[in-house]
Amino acid sequence: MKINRILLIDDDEISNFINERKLKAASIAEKIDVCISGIRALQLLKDIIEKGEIMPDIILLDINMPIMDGFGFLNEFVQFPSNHINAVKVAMLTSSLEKEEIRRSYEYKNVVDFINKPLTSDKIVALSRKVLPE
Amino acid sequence: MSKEQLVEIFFKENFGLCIDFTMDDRQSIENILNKATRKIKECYPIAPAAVIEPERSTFFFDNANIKHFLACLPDAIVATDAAGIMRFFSLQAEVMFGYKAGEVVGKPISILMDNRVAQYHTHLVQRYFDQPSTRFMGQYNKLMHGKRKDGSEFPVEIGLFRLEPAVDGYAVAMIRDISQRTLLEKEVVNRELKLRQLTDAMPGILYQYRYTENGEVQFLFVSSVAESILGVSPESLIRDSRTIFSKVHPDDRNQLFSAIAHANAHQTTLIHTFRIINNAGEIRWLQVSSRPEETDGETRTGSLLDITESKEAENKLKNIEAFNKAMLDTTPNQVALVSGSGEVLQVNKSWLQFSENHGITLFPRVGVGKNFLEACMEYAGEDLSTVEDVLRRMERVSKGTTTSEEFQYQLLLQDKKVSFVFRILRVLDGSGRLVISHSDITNIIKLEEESRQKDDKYRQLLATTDEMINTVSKEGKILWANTAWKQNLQYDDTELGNLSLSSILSQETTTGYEERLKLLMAGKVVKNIEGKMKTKGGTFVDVLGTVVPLYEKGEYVGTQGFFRDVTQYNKEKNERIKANARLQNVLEHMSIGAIALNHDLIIVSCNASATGFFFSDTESVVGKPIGDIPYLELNGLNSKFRNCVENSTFDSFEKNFRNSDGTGRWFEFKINPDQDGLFILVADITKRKKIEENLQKSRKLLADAQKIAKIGSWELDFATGEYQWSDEIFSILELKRGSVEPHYKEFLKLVHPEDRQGVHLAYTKSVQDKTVLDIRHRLLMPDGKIKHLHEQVETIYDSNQNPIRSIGSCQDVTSEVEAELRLRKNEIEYKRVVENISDAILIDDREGNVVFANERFLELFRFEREDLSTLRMEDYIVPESRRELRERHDARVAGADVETFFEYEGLRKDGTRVWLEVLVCRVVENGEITGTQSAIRDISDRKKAENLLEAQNRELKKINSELDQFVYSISHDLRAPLLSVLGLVDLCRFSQTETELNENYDMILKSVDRIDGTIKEILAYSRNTHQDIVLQQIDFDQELNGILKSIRDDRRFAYTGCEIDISSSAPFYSDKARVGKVLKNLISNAFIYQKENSQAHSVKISVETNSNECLIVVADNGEGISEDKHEKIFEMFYRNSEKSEGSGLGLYICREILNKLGGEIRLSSVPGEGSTFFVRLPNLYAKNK
Repeated sequence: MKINRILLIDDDEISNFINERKLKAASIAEKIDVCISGIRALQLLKDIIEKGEIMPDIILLDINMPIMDGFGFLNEFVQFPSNHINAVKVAMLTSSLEKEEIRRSYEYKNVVDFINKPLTSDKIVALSRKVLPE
Repeated sequence: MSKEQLVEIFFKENFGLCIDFTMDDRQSIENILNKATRKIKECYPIAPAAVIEPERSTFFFDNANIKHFLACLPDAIVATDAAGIMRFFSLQAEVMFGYKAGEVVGKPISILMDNRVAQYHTHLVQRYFDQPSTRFMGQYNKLMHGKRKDGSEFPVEIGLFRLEPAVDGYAVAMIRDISQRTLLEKEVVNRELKLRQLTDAMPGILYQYRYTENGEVQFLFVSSVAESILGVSPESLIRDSRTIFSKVHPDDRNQLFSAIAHANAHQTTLIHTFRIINNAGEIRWLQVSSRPEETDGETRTGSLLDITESKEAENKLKNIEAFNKAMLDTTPNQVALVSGSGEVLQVNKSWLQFSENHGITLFPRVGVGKNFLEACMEYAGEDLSTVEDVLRRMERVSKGTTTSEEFQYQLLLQDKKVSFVFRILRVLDGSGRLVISHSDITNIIKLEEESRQKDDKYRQLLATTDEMINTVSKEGKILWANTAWKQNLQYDDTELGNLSLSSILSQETTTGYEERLKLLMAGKVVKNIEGKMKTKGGTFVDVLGTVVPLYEKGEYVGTQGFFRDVTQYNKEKNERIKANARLQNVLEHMSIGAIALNHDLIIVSCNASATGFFFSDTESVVGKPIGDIPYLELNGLNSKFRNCVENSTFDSFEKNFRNSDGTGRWFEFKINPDQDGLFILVADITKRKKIEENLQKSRKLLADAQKIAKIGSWELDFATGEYQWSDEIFSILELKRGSVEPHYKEFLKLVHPEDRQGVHLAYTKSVQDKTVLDIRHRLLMPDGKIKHLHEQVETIYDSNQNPIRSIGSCQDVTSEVEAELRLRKNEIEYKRVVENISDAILIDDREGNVVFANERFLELFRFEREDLSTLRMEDYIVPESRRELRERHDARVAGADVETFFEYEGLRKDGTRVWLEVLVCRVVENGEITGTQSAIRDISDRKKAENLLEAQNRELKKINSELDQFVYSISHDLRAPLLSVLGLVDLCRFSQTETELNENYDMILKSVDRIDGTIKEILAYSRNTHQDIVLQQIDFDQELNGILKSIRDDRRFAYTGCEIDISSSAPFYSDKARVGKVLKNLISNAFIYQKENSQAHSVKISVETNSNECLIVVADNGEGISEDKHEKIFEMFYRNSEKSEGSGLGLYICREILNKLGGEIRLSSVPGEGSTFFVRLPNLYAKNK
C-alpha cells in the first residue's frame, strides 16, 4: 500500500532537494508536494480543500523557518475544519535536538513523529509504518 | 294536373307567392322556374339555390302524387345537399320549427338542431354521405332535440334516408315531434313510482288476489310492507299464498277461511280480525279487509293491517276504567261526573253516601240520572248566592272559559262547622262533561291553623334569640336566617336569597365541611362546630354551634344551624390564656424559686429556679415528699414546713446551705400556706449576704487603710476651739500623743516656712468662701527632712452661716511626690535619648494615628511638627504598601504575632520615596495595647546597592539566555547544512547519471558555502565583541567598489547595477573593517531581497561625510519589510524572508558594530515598495589624534 500524498515543508532548499529525492527513491508516496515556507504550505492546503482534492497523508515539517516557524504553521493548521485535517499526520523534520521542542511538538494531536535530519530511508520506512495501517 | 301546374302550386304553397304565370310561361317548366326565380329573388334577397336550379329540383315533381303525400305526412321533411345545406323544407317542417321555407333553404340544417348536436353536425353529415343508409334516430333513450325559430327545443324522432337514385347526395330527413308522447311516458313512470311509494308508506299490506277454482288464494300483488308485518317477502307470498296461512293462529284459522270463502261466494266486502304468530313467536293482531274489483269478480283487492297495538290499547283501557272506578269508590271525597247541562252521569260511593246522609244546599240528594244543577237550585235556600256562584263556575268550566274551578265553603253539619273544598274540572274529551268533587277539609284547615300558630311562635322565638340560626338547602343556599344571624353577619333579607354557604364559611370552617356534610346526610346531628363565619364586610365572627339535618317526607333537604357568636368569648379566653401563660412564664423563669407542696408535703410543682437551687431536675422530684429530698432534710427544714402546714402559718427565714466543698449559699425562704398546701418562695440571697459581710469588713479595713495610706484626719470645733487629731496625724507630724496638745499652731509650726503663709491664707479663705480646701504643701521636720502633704478641709456652717466645724484629712504623699520627681527626670532623659537617637521614633495609637514622633522622623519624612496632629500611617507609606501595612498594624494591636522587623518604602511629604527598615513593638499601658512604637531607619543607600545587584543579576540572566539561544541557533545553522551534505553524499551514492551527480555536487557546494557564511558571521560577531576599535581613515568610494565587486562575482546574487553618490567634506575616521562589514551587509541585503518578477530592481547608495559624522543611505525597491518587523530584524538570528539564506545574524551584527562605534541605524520601509536603511556614524577623527 502506498501513501497518497506527502507534503514537505522546509525553508532549506537543499534539504528539500535531498528529502524529495529520498522520498521518491523510497517510492512510498504517489505524490510529493514541497513548500519552502509555512505560509505557502497553508495556501496549498487551502487550495486542496477548495478543489476537493485529497489532503496529504503526511506532512513533514521543519521547525526552524523564517517568518513562520513550524509551530506557527501548526497553530494555523489546527484551525482548519476538523473533517479535513483529522486524518493528516504530521512528522516534525528538524535538525533540532531540543527536548523542549519535542515536547511542544507532541502537544499537537496531528504530530505523530519527531524525525531528526537527515531523513534516511530507514526513517522513511519507520514513518510509513506509523502512518499506514497494517 | 300538368307538371307546370304542380310547380305553380308548389311555389304558391311553399313560398306563399302568387305568381301570375302566363300561358307562355306554362309552355315549359324552364319558363315557369325562371319567372318564379325572379319573383323569389324580388321577395327573398337570398334565394334558395335548390329551387332556382330547375334540373336539381325536378325530382320532387316527377310523381304527380308527391305533393299530396308530402302535404299529408305528419312528419316534417327536410332535404339537404352533401354539404348539409337545406334544399327543401316541407310545410309540416314550417309548422314544427316555426321557420318559413324561404328563411332556411340555403342554410345549414344544423340551425334546426339543439346546440349540443349542432356543433359537430358537419362531421356527421360528412360521415353520413360516406356511408349513406336509411336509419332512425331519436329512439332508445337517445333523445334528440329539434330547435325552433324561437330557440325552444323539443324531442324528435328522425328517419334519415338518401334519395334514390342518388341526386347529388341529397339526403332527406323525416322529422316527428314526440313531445306529447315523451310527456305521457314520463307521467306513467311517475305514477307507478308514486303508487309504490304510497303502498310502501301505508301501515298495512296492500294486496290483490284471486280466488282460484280449487279454492286457493293466489296473490297478484303484495306491497313491500309484508316483509315487516308478516316476516314474509312479497315475492314468496306471490309464489305461494300458503306461507301466510301457516302463520295464522290455530284458534283463528278456521274462522278466517270461512270468512274468506263467504265473502268470495257472496261477492261482499270482507272485514275480519285474526291473530298470527310471527317469526319471533309473538302474537300479532291483524285485520284483513278486501273487496272484489268492479271489473273482475274473481280478483279482490284489499289491505292487511297490524292492529296489535290498538287491540292492546283497547284492553288496557278496559282495565284502566275498572281501576279508575275502584279508585273513585275508595276515595273519601265525593266525586261525580256530570254532563255539560248538569245531568249526573256517574257518582262514586262516597258521593252516594254523603248525598244520602247530608242532602243539603250545595250537596243535594242527587244520584245518577238526576240533574245536579236543578237539585242545587231546589235546595238553595239561604245559600242561594253560594249556589249561584257554583253554577256560574260550572258554566265557565263547561264552556271552556277555564279548565277548572276551586273554592272553599263552610257548612253546619250536625252543629259542627265543616269546611269543604269544591272542585270543578272539565273532562278534556270534547264531550263537555265535568267532574265535580267535594272534599271535607275541616281537619286540614285546623291543622294548618295550628301549624301556622306554632310556626309563628317558633319564628318569633328564633327572631328574638341571640343564637344565630339559619336554614340551608341541600345545595348550600341560605334559605332563611334569623335576626341575630343577619345582624351578626351584616346581611339583610333581600341579600339572603343570593347567599350560599360557601360565601359565609371561612377557609378554616370549610375544612371538615365534607365530613360534617356526610354525617348530616346520614341523619346525624353535628355538635360543637367551631369556626368562623365571614360577614358581608369581610370580617370574621367566631361561632360555636350545632347543625341539624332537615327532612321532608323522609328526604334530606338541607340543614338548620344554631350558632353562638363566640368572638368576644374567644377573645377573652385567648387573653386569659395568654395572661396565664405569661404568669406561668414569669413564674417559671423568675430568679426566685417557687415550690408548691400539698398537705402531705409532697412536691406538686416547682419552677426552674427552684430546681436549679435544690434539685437535679424537675421531673424526678415532682410527686415525691419534700422530706425525701436529701438536701433539704439535711438542714432540718422539714419540721418547719410541717409546722406551717399544720398550723396554716406563714413563715420566713434565711438559711445558709453549706456545700461539702465549704462554699455556701444563702437562701431566703417565704412559706405561704394556701388551700392546697404550701407555696414556698425561695430567693438566692448569697450575693446580698456577701455584700453585707464585705461592708462590715470594709469598715474595719478603713481604719487599717488610713494607716497604710498615711491619711490622718482632724476636726476643729469653732465653738470650743478644740482640736481632735487622729493617730495618723500624730504619726505624720512625728509627734507623740500626749506630748503636745493638738492645735493648729502646732501644725503650722511644722509647715515648711516657704509654704506656711500660703497654707494659712488658703485655709482662712476657704472658711470665708465656704469652699473645700484642697492643697499640697511641704512640712519641714525638725531634722531637716521634707515631707509632702496633701490636705483636704471642709467646713460646716450653722444656719447663720457661721462656721461650726472644720473637718480635714491629711495624707503623707512624700513618696509619691518623690517618685514623680524621679519620673520627670527620667522622662527628660528619655526624651533626650529619643531626640538624639539616629533612628526615627514613632508612636501611634490603635487606629494608626501618630501620637508621637521624634525630630529624626520629621527630618526623614520632611514633615513639620504641626503636621503630626493629623498624621495617619497612610500619609507616610507609599500607596502600594498601605494596605499590607495597615493590616499588619491592625493585627499587631489586636495582639497577633506579626513581623516586627521589616522593610518598606516610605513616602515623604514632598512625594519622594525612601526605603526604610523598621522595628515595631506594641505599646502596652495598664495591660492594654494602646498602639505601637516604631524605630525607623533610612536604608536608601543599602537598597540602592541591592537594586543594582538585582539589575546586574537580571542582565546576567538575559545574557545567559541569549547565550543559550546563540548556541541553539548556531548549532542549528551549522548542523543543518552539514546534515544536508550528509544527505547529499548519500544521494550521490545512489545517483546513476552524471547530471544527477553534478546536481548533487552543486548542492553540496551550496551547503558548504552556507556553513562557511555562518562561520564568517560568527567570527564577525566575535571580532566586533572582542577586538578593539582600530581607527583608520575610510575611503567610501574604494570601500563600496570592493563590496559591489564581490557581490557581482558572487553567483548567488543577481546583480542589477547600482547608483552611488558620495560627497565628502572632511576625512572620515572609524574602524574600517567594522564599517565595511556594515556596508557589505546592507548592500547584500538590498540585492537579495528583490521583488519577485521585478522588472527594474534598483539599489541606491549615498554617503555623506563631514567632520562630525557620516550618513550612509542604502535604498532598494525590493520586497520591503512590514512595520511591525522593523525592530525584530535587528534581533539575533531573526530571519524575515523566505529568501533569507543566512544565519539571521547580519543586521544584528550591524547594530552591535554601530553600538560599538557610537553610531545608529534605522530604516523606513513599505512592504512591496522597498526599504531604505539609514546609518549614522560619528567621525572619530578627533579620537584618532
